[in-house]
Amino acid sequence: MDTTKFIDFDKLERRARPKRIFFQLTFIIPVVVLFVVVILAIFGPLLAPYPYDQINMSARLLPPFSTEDGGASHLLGTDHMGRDVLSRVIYGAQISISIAVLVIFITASIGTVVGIIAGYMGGRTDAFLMRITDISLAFPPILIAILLAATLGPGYWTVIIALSFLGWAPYARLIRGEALRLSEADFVAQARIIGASPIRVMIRHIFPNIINPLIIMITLAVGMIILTEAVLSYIGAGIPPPSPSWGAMVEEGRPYIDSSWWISFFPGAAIGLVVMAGNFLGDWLRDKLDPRLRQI
Amino acid sequence: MSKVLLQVEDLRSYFFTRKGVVKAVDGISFHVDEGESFGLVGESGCGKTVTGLSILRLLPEPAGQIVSGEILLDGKNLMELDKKEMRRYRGSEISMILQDPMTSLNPVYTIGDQIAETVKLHQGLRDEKVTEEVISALRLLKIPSPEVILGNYPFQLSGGMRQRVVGAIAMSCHPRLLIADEPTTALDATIQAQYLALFKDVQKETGVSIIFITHDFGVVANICNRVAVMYAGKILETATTREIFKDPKHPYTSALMQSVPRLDKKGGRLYSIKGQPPSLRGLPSGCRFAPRCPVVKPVCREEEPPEVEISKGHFVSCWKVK
Repeated sequence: MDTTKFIDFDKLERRARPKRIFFQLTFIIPVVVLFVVVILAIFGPLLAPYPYDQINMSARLLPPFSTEDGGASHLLGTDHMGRDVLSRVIYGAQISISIAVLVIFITASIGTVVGIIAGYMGGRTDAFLMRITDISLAFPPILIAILLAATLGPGYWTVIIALSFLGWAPYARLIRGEALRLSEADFVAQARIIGASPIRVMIRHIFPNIINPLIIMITLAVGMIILTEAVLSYIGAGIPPPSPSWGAMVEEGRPYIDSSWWISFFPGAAIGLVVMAGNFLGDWLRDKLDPRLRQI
Repeated sequence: MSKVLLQVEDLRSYFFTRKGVVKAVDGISFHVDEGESFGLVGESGCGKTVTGLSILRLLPEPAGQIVSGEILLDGKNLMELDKKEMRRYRGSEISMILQDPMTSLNPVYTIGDQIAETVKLHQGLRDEKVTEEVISALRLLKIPSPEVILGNYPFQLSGGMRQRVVGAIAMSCHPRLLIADEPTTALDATIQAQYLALFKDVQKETGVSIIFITHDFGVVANICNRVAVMYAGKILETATTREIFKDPKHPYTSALMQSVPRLDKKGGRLYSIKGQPPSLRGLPSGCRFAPRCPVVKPVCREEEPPEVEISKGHFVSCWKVK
């Protein structure tokens, strides 16, 4: 019997063929969203139609697509002080993205160093560093942020310190596990055999092999940090007004939510979009970079 | 009479675990001459690998410790070196090849980079000189088209080729002593033979001394000049390969010989030694092999047999030969 006619080889082959990277929507959409947001963050002052703090009491609570008597148009409407919502969302990108980048840089660096040292050195060093990590993981970050905002006073750097203060711990946890696994690897033993020092082994042989999980964690953290910053600003422990942080804008629009939904909606939508983009990109990268998934 | 390169005296390497002290290597002495192949044979867990790691002082600390002994390389006691000096010896004076070529190369670097690391670490050469050294190391291990291979990543090579690369890394700084820890165990039979032949050539070319750690008497017969048989952390018998095969004195050695499958004697079941090797945590008093020994005497269970030289260079620890 000829079995070949029961199998559609063309179809199977088409399915097995990897899609071109640019046709993968879970990759292209988040990349475009993040790219646009980063561009807005960098060139915000040039792109925004009005300064973020230009108050115009005669143009309060204008709905989207409205035009003032003087001819000034507001694509996304104005808030309770007559400030242009679009301009504030664009400026807000600058704050959110710069906070995210700085916090990620600080937390990922500390977490990686702590994790690699703990995982490779083992013994008491490991126990000591991991207990500190456990303690850091046990604290609720919002609580620490409120505490810091109360002592240091709310502000840009307070938010960064607050988010970094505990944010390194999950990195340390993940990296330590990877480093522990790698320190048992034969190629690490081989590096020691040729006379490499512990520092050399950690930097040259362990670190490059943990970059994949690190990148995945970083992309997933983007959304988390922006969200936490928004929450902090919403509860008043974050960026103080008139700075247009997205979270703070959602909070400012809260009293007017019945009548003027746009004040809260657009910054909220921006948060949602960036967080989702970060998560999608993280998932996509995880699928691509994880060797266990790659082998399938 | 050739010169002694490595002299190990009464080496004891213990592992301190929660369940007690594991005496992985318990007072062994042997020497390796310059340009010689020395076999260290024994079953799994008898302390062969720990011996190898001890010579490099790379036991997994703090659990694993060399508690006593002397390791003399060309008269210099390695136990007296500090960590930094010891690192300088590793790779340049003593090197080691691990068992599994699939995992002993770093997946993120090219072959060239990995060999270059050793060369740069020990020789401090300029870049173009480094490449020269890398290529000559690849040539030494008879790796075809080295200029191409050095740009490859480990996953692009077969197991046999990777094991040659591991050999090239080990030999790249012209060490005087190479410890090969079951280098052929992970390779298939035809590649094994090639690899051993390759080592004979490497040795002829460089004059390196090699310690072959193996459980395979075939490997020993193929390449080693002398051999030491290890059992439960002790060396039971040391002799030239010829003598061990012709006239094994220790009951354990002869039992091992009988359990090797041979082409010239067909049929019948293979001989097997009854029982299990003793736990290294609670060793029996007297001779360690006594519980499994076919010719055991009462004295064997009470007192450890001393090492006696029954003919020149042939040492046995057994009450039977006393």
